[in-house]
Amino acid sequence: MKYLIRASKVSKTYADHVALDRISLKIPKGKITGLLGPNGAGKTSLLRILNGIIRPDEGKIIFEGEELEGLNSRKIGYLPEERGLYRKMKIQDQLVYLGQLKGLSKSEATEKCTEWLDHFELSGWKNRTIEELSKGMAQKIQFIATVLHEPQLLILDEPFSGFDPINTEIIKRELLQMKKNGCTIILSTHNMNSAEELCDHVILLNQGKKVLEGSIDEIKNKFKKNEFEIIFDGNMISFTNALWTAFELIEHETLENKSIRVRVGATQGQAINELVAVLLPTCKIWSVTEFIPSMHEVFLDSVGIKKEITA
Amino acid sequence: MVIQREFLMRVKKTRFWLFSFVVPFLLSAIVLAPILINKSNLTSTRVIIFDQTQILGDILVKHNQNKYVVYEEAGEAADLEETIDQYDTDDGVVVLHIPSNFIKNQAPVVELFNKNTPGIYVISKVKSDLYDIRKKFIVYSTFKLDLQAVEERMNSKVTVLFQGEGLNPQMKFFLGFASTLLLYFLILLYGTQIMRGTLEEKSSRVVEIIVSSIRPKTLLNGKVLGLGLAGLLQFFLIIVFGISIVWIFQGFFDIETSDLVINQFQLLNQQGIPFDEVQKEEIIPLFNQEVQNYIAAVRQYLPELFLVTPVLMVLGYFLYASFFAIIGAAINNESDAQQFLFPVLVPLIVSGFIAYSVLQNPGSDLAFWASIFPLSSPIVMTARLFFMDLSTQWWEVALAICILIASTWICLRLAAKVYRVGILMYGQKASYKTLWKWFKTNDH
Repeated sequence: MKYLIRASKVSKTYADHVALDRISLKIPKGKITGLLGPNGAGKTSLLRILNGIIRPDEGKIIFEGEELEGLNSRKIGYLPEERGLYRKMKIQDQLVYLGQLKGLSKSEATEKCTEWLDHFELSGWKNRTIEELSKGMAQKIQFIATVLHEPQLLILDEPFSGFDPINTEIIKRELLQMKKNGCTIILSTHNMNSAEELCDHVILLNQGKKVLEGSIDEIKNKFKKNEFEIIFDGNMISFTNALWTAFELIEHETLENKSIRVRVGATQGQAINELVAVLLPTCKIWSVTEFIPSMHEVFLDSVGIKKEITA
Repeated sequence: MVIQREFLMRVKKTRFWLFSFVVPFLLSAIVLAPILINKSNLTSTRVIIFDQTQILGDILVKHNQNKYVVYEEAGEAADLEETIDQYDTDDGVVVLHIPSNFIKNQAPVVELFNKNTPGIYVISKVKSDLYDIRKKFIVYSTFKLDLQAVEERMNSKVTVLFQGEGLNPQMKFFLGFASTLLLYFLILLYGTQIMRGTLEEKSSRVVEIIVSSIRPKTLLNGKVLGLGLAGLLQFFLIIVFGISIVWIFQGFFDIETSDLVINQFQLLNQQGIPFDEVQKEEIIPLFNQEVQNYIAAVRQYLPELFLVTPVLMVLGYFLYASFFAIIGAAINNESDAQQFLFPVLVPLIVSGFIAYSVLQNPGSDLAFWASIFPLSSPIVMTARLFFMDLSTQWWEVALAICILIASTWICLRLAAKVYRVGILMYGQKASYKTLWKWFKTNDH
């Protein structure tokens, strides 16, 4: 796998508060990486460092094989958590201005601005100010301001906070399209569903330290506990006897149709085939499913146990 | 790009042009309105003199006419009653009765007869003219002296010769005062604009997007330069509009330069007595001479006006702009600004007071030290500059400018350091301790 960014032992301290503590990570090229973690974990500090807005106290960032020194604004698009635009400046004027600050010429910025406003059906509003727009429209304008210069890397800090569900879906669609076009995306979010839905790779931070890093599947597999759910018709005593010492019964309940649902754990890491093999002679099996934890459960589990694991 | 945006954002606003136009319009109106009102109110009045002294009426007619009061003698045979009756129906005519004992009487009295009460201007003019003539007449008849000749000798001006350039200190005062005022308002108006602009970017949260594209230092410098240029343009417009408005008004309402002069003298004259034609003729050449002197003064001080003063203005503006930028970055709303504004405004206001005192006493120790100390030097040195002999005192100006450059450089660096941390601190109420902490934060 190719990596766009490699960060090595990055630390950042504000007065007495350690925001980042010797963090090393890799951002895969052309993928969406989710930066997860509770409030105060150091996500915004890390994103600002990757952006070049602030400099780490220690450590280095390698961007496309070269050490990152200061801003790299032409290649990076940034949507901060605390965001807004000039309230009294016309939409087109400020998009062109922000595009120019990112290194586009005035004509390029105007052209891209027209394309994006057309794309979001906002062309009729280009001579209005942000104050005159609805919140949803303003959010789209904010997104345009971030991607107008077609950055190689898109850094989004809590991109869906404050977005209504319709706009959230629109932005998700745009992000997936940009990924398809080769853009690398880093997004920090609290929304685990979004992370699971969009991200190929996740990094979990807690109290300034990296807790997890890897692909979603790798992490979920790492956190699965070898537990299975079985729905069957038959005798509960025979079922329990069949489990013997290889599996343990965790819980059970009788369903309305008299079928029984049980949850069992494999004590010595046995696979689903072995479970089916011991149960087949004793009951009529309707379904067997392995429990895979959601990212939400992984998040809570990781933050709760505060155990550093690198997948 | 930042300079361009900051400049155009101000210049494109209607408020900018309105202010540039309204200020000189109001200032011109203050000067011109009394003249217009005066002119429109004054109509010509015929004063028919019924003179029983047989002397004064003739003098009044020959020497004291003007276009608002026209003296005429009543017919020789007419008696007072008849004369009054004759003009009783006419609004623009008054009958002046000068009794025969007018000169001898210790408390001389004359009477004015009119259909309505005569205007205050006519009463004042008659009173002043008769007082003057009576005085001359008494002096001549008692001492056989020509009072006018005596007064001319008595009123000769005393000229004080002093070392230094021959220009009137009044001109120097004018140049110093005008330049100081300009700088004062440039700092105050546009310094607060920097504070507001920074606060707006911070509170609208656009600042983090901007600093992901350019360095905070670049943003700060662009803001200070762009607003400074807008400020200079505004002052240029105010001056151009001001001159144009006076010029247009003069042409449109037929106001002569002499009207302006006379109006000024009238304002100063406690009795409110207008100047007559004779005095007008004496004053206008004097006024023209004054104007020539002002032009000569401006020409003589061209290097100061176009070289030193702009340098002091730019440095002074940058110095105070750095303080206003720190305040803008430190606060979250305008009400938080008070505690930080006070220490910035105090040196500015005190400098203004010192500058005024320096204009009156430019050689004092206070003038020297205040024109060297960087917080006061832009304003005080601007005021003092025109009183200095640059061929010998050039080192004082050079020293002040060097100290000012060093201080401005330090303050702008300090501002940039505090600014780059402060603009990203949302919701945190800043104190002086916090500012110090931000200054020490080593981000870049």
